[in-house]
Amino acid sequence: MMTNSSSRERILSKVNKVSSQVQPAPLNIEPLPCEDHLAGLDNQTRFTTNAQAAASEVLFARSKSDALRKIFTFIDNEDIDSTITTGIQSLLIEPLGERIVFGINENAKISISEASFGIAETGSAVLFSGQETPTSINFLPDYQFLLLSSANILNSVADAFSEISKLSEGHQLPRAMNIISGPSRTADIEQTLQLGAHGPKRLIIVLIDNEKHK
Amino acid sequence: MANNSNRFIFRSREALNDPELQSALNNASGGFSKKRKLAVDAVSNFDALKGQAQAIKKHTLDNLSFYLQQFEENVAQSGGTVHWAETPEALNEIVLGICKAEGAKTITKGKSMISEETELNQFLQENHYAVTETDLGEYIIQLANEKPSHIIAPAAHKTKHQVRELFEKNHELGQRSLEEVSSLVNEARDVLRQKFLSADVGITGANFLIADTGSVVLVTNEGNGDLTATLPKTHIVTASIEKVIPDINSAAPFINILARSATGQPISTYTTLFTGPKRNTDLDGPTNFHVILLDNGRSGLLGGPYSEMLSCIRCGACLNHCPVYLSVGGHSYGWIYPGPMGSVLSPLLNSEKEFSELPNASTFCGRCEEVCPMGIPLPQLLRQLRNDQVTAESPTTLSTLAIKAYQWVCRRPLVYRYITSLSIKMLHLVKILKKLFRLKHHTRPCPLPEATQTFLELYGSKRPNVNNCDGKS
Repeated sequence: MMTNSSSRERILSKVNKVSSQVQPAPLNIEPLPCEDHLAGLDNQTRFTTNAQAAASEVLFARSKSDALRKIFTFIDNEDIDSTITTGIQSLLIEPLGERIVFGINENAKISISEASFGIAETGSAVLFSGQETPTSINFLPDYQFLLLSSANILNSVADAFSEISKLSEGHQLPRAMNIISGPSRTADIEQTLQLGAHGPKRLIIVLIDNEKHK
Repeated sequence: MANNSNRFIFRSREALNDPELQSALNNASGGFSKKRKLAVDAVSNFDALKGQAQAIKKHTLDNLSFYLQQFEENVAQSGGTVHWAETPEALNEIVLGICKAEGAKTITKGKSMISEETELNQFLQENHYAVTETDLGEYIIQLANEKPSHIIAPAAHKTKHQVRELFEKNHELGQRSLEEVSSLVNEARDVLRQKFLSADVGITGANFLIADTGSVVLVTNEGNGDLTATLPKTHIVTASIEKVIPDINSAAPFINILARSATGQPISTYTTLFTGPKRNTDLDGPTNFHVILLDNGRSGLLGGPYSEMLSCIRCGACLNHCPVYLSVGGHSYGWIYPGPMGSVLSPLLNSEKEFSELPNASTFCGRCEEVCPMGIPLPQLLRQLRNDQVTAESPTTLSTLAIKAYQWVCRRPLVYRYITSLSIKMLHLVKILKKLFRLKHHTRPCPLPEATQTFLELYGSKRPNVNNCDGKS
């Protein structure tokens, strides 16, 4: 595009006058964790407290099969009638797996996905887009169930970014990396907080213990 | 692009007399600042986090040329395209070009102040595209055909009754109850869900651009940005050149201070890093990924007396703590950036003359600087803009002559006393006349002095021996 390239040159020539074009020495700033009143607690307790403060619900399970049982108990108790979607192939062969549909379904009100890691400082779950973790099922359903191994809870946002940064060394990052901290919300009308603006109305994190880091 | 120009005084007077606006502003004021204070006080090393973010930003701006080109290279590496737009018009043309090439018809948008800056919606609609804003606040003001009045709460000036009227008028869903905020949010969710699913192109803004991976960081609470970026075949990001930061690690302090300063959350609900288009193995995501970098006058600020303004991360804290903003609302400022940051930015990115009133829309109370996570000295920048204005004026303008006259009077105590004594009597006369002719509602609500004598006169009359107190009594 003609206009595009000349726009580029004009902008860069102005920027070049007052900033450096050559690679600068790295800044060497070690991002700090936030020091709050929960900072001394163990990661799982801190994660759970902060996740609940962000309006997430937290369930505990011993294994993936146990997690599925907990999820179905939850669904049956809430009496939600809907297709359940997931990208996780291995869930389909679990007992109860026959109630789950693989892939993306726009009308499904429930999704189950797996977080790569959690952040204790904010109660967030971090999900990478990929073959088994399509991004849209994090946003389309009303109820999102997130499996998270408790061994994969990192201390801080700074640690999470450092982990992502390590992944980027020599590899292309996934298309989307979602740091999710509670169900979708808005306060755009009269500052009244309302959950479920566009994404999930409820976010249920299932912490799975006894599962080692992959 | 700014069309409202120099009428701040006129518009703010109207705003002060608008009961609905005042009620909406009352709702907004206090809420944000209280939540921010709680969130900031909860972190004992908040100042250290701020310091890190500020150091990273300064470093990036000092080396902006390198980081912009590194970003461009890495976006290309991941399969996307970077476009450069010197002006708002250029950005709009680039978006139009992409939409045409894709044969697109419908477009969804996440909140983007850059596209507000270029009036992209209007431009695309003129070119017969159906554009829908998906952030609830932006959607409301799109229905009302208005501009945002707050950079993070675009519809802060609307009451729920006004939103209900807009939905009833625009949604044609028959008889239904829209009394509660929850029913309004649910209706918007349903209507907008259809728009998300059918859009050909999704346009979002960016909170940060990461140079060494070519990633775009987007922060939202609603999840609208992610649906906009994920479902359509093409994702276009509109961002300005100063949004770039060196690497993923350097995003951490910004994420830690942004939401705390803005809404008082430890972190916004959704923080997403987008890198390139969908991969072959992905089940969803766009096949085309474009980033458009807008300059629109920013490169001219770099390295100059106003360069600190380029550190702004658009958290809105200065708006939420500004007594002027909280009294007159965002629309009084005449452009999309209101409050203290807008009073600095609007004259700089547009013609200074057009926004010459804005640097005066401040009480210099200093709260904005106090709450700014990037430590931007907003009062100092406003003062500097005022200074520029006066310096630019010819020495024969009325204001310069008035200042010179004042200077002359101040240096002559007898003349000063005579004039002040005379003027206080005149003001008293004005007061009597006002009462006599019931002018109360036609004049500015400005309190007139109760006394009929100056301070010095009063002081002299109440302490008659003041000159004799020489210790010899």
